[in-house]
This record gives sequence, C-alpha cells and structure tokens, in this order.
Amino acid sequence: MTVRTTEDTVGSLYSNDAELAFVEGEVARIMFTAGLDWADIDTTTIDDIVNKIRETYEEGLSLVLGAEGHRQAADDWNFVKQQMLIEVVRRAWRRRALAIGRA
Amino acid sequence: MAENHWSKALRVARDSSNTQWDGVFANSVAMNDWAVAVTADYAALNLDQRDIAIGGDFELIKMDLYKTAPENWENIVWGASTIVLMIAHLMDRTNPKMMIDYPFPIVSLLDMLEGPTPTREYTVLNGYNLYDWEEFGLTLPDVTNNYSDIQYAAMDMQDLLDGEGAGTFDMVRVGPQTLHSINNRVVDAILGLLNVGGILHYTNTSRFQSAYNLGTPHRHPYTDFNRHIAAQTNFDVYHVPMEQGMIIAKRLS
Repeated sequence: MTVRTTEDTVGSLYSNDAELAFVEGEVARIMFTAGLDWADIDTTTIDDIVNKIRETYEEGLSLVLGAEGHRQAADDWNFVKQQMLIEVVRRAWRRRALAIGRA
Repeated sequence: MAENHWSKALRVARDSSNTQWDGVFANSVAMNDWAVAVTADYAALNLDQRDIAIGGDFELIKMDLYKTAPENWENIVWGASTIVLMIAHLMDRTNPKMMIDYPFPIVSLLDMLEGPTPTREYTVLNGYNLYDWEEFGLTLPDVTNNYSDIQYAAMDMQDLLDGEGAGTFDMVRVGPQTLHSINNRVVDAILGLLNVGGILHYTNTSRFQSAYNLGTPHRHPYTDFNRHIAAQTNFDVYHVPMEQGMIIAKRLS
C-alpha cells in the first residue's frame, strides 16, 4: 500500500488492517524469539509470552563456579534482551488488542 | 483536580514563552472532550490493565492521565509540542515535510495542516494514535468549526520499513512506542527518512529517567536503541537528558 493522503478521504486514513498486520508480525517475531509458535496464537496469552521470555532469557544462567557475586557479561545481555522483548511485546500486544477491538 | 508537577511547570514555562501559538494553543474544554472520548473508547475495549500485560510503560498507562487529567493539563501537551514547533521553526525551511506518530487536536498542529496550501506537509504513521486523532480529535466542534480543509498523509509501518519516503523528510518526531522493535530495523528506517540537514526528534529516551538513574545503564532496555542512534556516523546526535530525555539528531550526509 502506498502513502495515503486526505485528497479524497479526510479523517479516515487510519488502516486497521495494516495496523493489525504490523503488530501481529511484531508479536509473531517475539514469540519465535522466545521459543513460542505463532500457530498457537489463539491459545496464547500475554502471560504465556512474558513468562516464556523470562524463562528463555533468564538472568543467572551464565554464572560459573568461582564467579559467585559477580555478574557475567552474558547475564547482562540476557537481562537486557529479556527486558527489551517484554517491553516491546507488551506494546505490540496492546496495539493488537486495540486493532482487534476496532476490526 | 489540582495541577500536578508537570502541568504546573509547563504552565510557568508557557507563561514565560512568546510564540505565535501561546495564546490559543489549546482549548481546555476541547482537550478534555477529546480525552473523555478516547478514554471511553478504550474502556469499551476492556483492555488488559494487569501488571504483566502493561508493566510500567508510559505508552500503556497514559490513559490514566486522560482519566484523571490535572488542572491545566493542556500545558503538558504544550510542552511536548513546543519543542517540535521550535525545531521546525529554527530549521527555517519552506513548507517542510514532517513525519509524526502522535498527533494532538491542537491549534499549533491544525494551523499547519489547513489548506489550500498547508504550511507544513505532515505525514502521520498509521497506528492507534492516528485512529484516536481522526476519530475523536478531528471531529471535535472546535476543530470542525475552525478548520475546513485539513490536509495530511498517512504511512503504514510496513511501507516505512520498505523504504517509502526515504531521504525526503525534513523532520521526524517519534517516541519509543514507534522506534522500539525486536532490533533496530525501525530506528534505521526512521533515520533513513531524513534528507541531508533533516532532524530527528526522538522523545522519552529514558523511560521517565530510569535509564539515567540506573547505575548500570547498559542493563536498561532503552540504552541499546539510544547508543545505536549515537553510533550513526552521518548524524550529529545530541542526547538531552532533561525530564523524560530526548534525542535531537541532524543528518549530515
């Protein structure tokens, strides 16, 4: 779809189909990244996705013997990816709920 | 409800500013009507407000501001919009092409959109903010009674990512709700929109200062995105750590 202008359609340029397609793509990518499958979206909740992200990108997995009390760089990486993915999926999930509600 | 810190500080700032829109910037009644309509729509959709679904992200809880708007809350919108106005004005380009992701039904924006030849050529990214603005903002009596030839464009996120409009925009104003994806693909597409000399205004770069207050900023989810922008060799990047934080980046080549 190309850029829409108000020459013909003042006040109605919003496309719910395009919005839904984009945010579902975002949710699908994050589900895949966390180890979930978009094919299961109808039975997947935001709780499932957030909890799976926390499990997959768990902080503390890289602790090695003798390194107790110190945080490993890999742990930092896991943590920041976990936080980022949760934040992005929460926004995408809410946008998806809005778009579904307006379909 | 009494003024809160934000509306008070920005009221004082507005009183101390002198721009062409200070006097007629926003009608409190219209702004409140708009907030009530948007809030009612969101309530009807029965959105999931549990912590696991929304966390502490402003974009997800901002309806609380609409529902419990402090006195003079339009000054908060003034504060955000004035920076856009200032940058666009100081760029001093004729009929600049602008991209935004969050339009408000305010005079300073609507004046720019009114035809037959709008002062600025605005494109709004497709999304829920565009829906709210079209559905509940452009239909306000204060808008329909004063503007008869509103002109703007809309671009889908998919087209943005496909490179639509690359290198043609003079200014882009977006927030983390648009820029943040699973990687930097949206950031790169947004930066790619700008022509040489064009300016990115990226708002709320700290998630309410939390990125600044954290002792280990590399563990904050916003930092990677901010540093990716700072690493662009063809941009001058100014990270301004005031209030919510912002990035002003100018394309050099």
